[in-house]
Amino acid sequence: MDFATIMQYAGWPLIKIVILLIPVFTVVAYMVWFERRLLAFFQSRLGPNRVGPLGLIQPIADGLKLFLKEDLVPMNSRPFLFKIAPIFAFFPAFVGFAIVSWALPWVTPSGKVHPFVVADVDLGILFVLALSSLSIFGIILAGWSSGSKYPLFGSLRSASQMLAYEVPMTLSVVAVVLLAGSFRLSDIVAAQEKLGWYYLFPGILAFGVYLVSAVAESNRVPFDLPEGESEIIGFHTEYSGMRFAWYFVGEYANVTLISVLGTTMFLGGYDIPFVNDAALYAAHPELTSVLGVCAFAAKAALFAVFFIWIRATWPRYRYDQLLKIGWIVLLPIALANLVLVALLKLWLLR
Amino acid sequence: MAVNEQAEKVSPLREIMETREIELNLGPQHPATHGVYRALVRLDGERVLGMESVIGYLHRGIEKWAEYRTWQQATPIFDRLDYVGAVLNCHGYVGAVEKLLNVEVPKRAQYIRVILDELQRIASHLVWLGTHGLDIGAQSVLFYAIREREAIMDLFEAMLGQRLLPNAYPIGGVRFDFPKGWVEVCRQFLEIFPKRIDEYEGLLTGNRIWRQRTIGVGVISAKDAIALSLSGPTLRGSGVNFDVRKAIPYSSYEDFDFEIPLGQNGDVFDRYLCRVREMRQSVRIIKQALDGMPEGELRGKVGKIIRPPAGEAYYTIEAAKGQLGFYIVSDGSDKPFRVHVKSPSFVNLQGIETMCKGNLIADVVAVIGSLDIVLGEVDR
Amino acid sequence: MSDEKEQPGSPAAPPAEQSPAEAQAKPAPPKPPAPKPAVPAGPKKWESTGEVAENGATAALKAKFGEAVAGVKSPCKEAVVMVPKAKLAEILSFLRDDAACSMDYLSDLTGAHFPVNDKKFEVAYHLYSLAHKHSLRVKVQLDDGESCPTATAVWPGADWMEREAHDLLGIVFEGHPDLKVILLPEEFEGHPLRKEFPLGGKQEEMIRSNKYGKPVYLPEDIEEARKIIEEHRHGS
Repeated sequence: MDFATIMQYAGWPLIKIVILLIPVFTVVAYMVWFERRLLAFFQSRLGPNRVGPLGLIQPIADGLKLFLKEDLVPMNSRPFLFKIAPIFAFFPAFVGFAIVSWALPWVTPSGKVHPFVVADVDLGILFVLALSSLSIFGIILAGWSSGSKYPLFGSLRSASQMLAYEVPMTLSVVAVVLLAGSFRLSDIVAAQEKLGWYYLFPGILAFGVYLVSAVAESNRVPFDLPEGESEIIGFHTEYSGMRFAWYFVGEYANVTLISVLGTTMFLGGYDIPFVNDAALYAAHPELTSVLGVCAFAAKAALFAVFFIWIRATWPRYRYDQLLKIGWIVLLPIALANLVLVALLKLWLLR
Repeated sequence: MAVNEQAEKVSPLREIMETREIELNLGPQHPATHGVYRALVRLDGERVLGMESVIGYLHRGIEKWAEYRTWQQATPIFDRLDYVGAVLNCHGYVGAVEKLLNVEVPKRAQYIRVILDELQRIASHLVWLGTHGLDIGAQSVLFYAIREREAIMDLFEAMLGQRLLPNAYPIGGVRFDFPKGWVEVCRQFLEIFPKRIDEYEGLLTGNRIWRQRTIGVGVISAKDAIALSLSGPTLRGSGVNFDVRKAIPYSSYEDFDFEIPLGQNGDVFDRYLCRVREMRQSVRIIKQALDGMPEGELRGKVGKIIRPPAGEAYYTIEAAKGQLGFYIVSDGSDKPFRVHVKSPSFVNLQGIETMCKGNLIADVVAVIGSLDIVLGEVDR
Repeated sequence: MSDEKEQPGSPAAPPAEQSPAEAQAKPAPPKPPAPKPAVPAGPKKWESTGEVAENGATAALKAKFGEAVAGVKSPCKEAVVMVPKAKLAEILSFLRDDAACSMDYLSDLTGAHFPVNDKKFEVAYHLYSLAHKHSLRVKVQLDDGESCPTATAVWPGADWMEREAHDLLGIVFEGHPDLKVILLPEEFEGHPLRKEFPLGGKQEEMIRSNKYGKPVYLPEDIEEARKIIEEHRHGS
């Protein structure tokens, strides 16, 4: 094996993973800070502002605190499952970032094309959906292995919630795939660019279903039943220290991933709004890439603000009401939307 | 057939798969129990089959303690009953002693008491509103409610020198007149506050999720509510028109024009609406009291050492949580012979089993919030 | 509770040994006798002063039960009646159901301990009529150890109030569905609202009257105090 082959299959992906993970970790950590500041703004208070300028070092301080805390394993628990459960919550959310296409590919002067993606899988969306179903194991295992009733309730709720929301979410994604004709995320962005419209407009119903089920998927208000801090405290009641932090980070990574995917599928990903990207790319490729990443980040931030906004405004749904919304409202809408999109594709957007 | 039955009986799978009731221990350390209330809930899945309340974790023996103090010395301890509605507790005890002594409280003192009582009622309802919202998952209301309560606490601090447990009234009247500028600040607050109530209602009353979570949940009929001796907004939410301020007027409440908000269905939403509307009525009462404030003495004729005649008195007021009663027995000495507190939270908590049966566990939390219990008062 | 010397001689004379906090507040060792010239020394029956007040409910009760219902004097013109224990259940359900009374709301139920009276306990029912807006206090006297018929059949709301009175005063309510502790810990001995129960509780009382027969206050040092407590707990 020569050096070039090794670089192609191991070297470059590893470098890309490192390059990707550092900003993703930072973004996830600062999601927490951002949420706390924004919530505070909604609630007429200040939020964390003591650690560093504007409280910017707060996430690091929090991480350090959790890292130094004692790791307790309850006597009643099943220790092995109890210990590995947080990995299931933490790992899929981060792996999901691997398939996200961040910007238009970078062409080296020698003519080599470097896509801004760790793994440009051609079944990218399916891969993410499969991964996100995996993350539910983290919650179920945590509830089951904790040996306590409250986490058990949390994990039971989570299981039925996943069933109720995975299906409409998948159907809404299928509508996008139908429109784009590909599972690959970069293809979806390219298709939107080509169409001139973001899929937000032809797939407005799908977008609504995606938003609602994305909130449910990431266990956030008003669907934060597995946590339900004032009712059943949550599936991670018995966790402490770093293992708890993994759940915490996993949740925010999930939120970030879902925002990023939603941006890619419905808001045109790294497409710069009101600009002909292809022409700009031909003239200034580097500038286009940088601007593309910025546009991507800005659009994804809109999603995040939306998540935080509803957290500040809405109460929590009840368990049975949530299932009712999933099965009786969202699923028919998603199905009807699929039929509509299929007809649209057939006659108008050929 | 018989063989099959036999096989089914011993099948280990059946033993594992059998559904069983779960007994869940809710509290005493639980975020939604508003203190150290503990409920043993029998559950089928998440549905409540029955529940049993366990209280007494905060029993401090206040009634016993009061027997070892003189009549005046006993006053401050009753602030500690319902610590978010301290002024009202003080009024209850002081009123009972005045009733036994047959002391005429001057009109001006009565009006000042009305103003402070109603401010305290608003403050107590605000704490309830915030925590009730938090229980159901609406975070922001808590911070808005605390913001307005802060203004009331500042008013108390300016007038009484203390914020939370001000030991507001001496026996026979009030201690201080309004400090300079207090009335203006109070009026300013009364101008702003109704708009703030609109804000809370905008977040909750019309909110679809809030309505779904509260309407038809924790229902108690008017008949049951009366039979269980519930009182305050918990009783009025079921449509029973019983407010001590109207029924047995005390401290010049008959002078004021106000309405008593009533519910219809006796569910969590009706109790919520009753309390929110009550805050608006309280603003109305305070405005009238400030406008019609009579001149005169602050304290009636009460000696330094109080020796009420041997006998008993039962004096009730409408506290924020409901009917607060003080049953005091005197033996003619300078110390109470027996003080009994009829605390509304204690009695209202009896209704929880009726309200929760058949609902889900998330509703238990909503019901506890809608009862507005304060454990200091439940356990005394 | 078994401390005989703790029996108060007269209800007017506050038992000095029982109020440690007060004794601490006033450092003078022999507590100056409270000024009580009007009350003669020695046991005197507790009795309410004032005059008997009447209202619609008492009139209806008198008409139905006659002499069995006695009006009680009240210094603040409250309608109070004393009823015999044997007729209590009957009278309570009459009060609730009779159209002239319709006392449908049980405002409060409690008891009091009068160690100097012949009948040592009184149970008081504070009733209110939502329709007629009149109230009435019904009282019944009980001997020590005597049980009282329950009111839970008439007003279900009496449930916890009776449990509380049972807890704190030791009054037994006959026929109560579930008469167990409510405010006190389950293993608690004694009934704190009885007059012979010391304010600080039994344990504190034990420490204060140490083996030399003098009241002793716990030293400031926590370790030493703990040693004394342990000594008393295991030594005697």
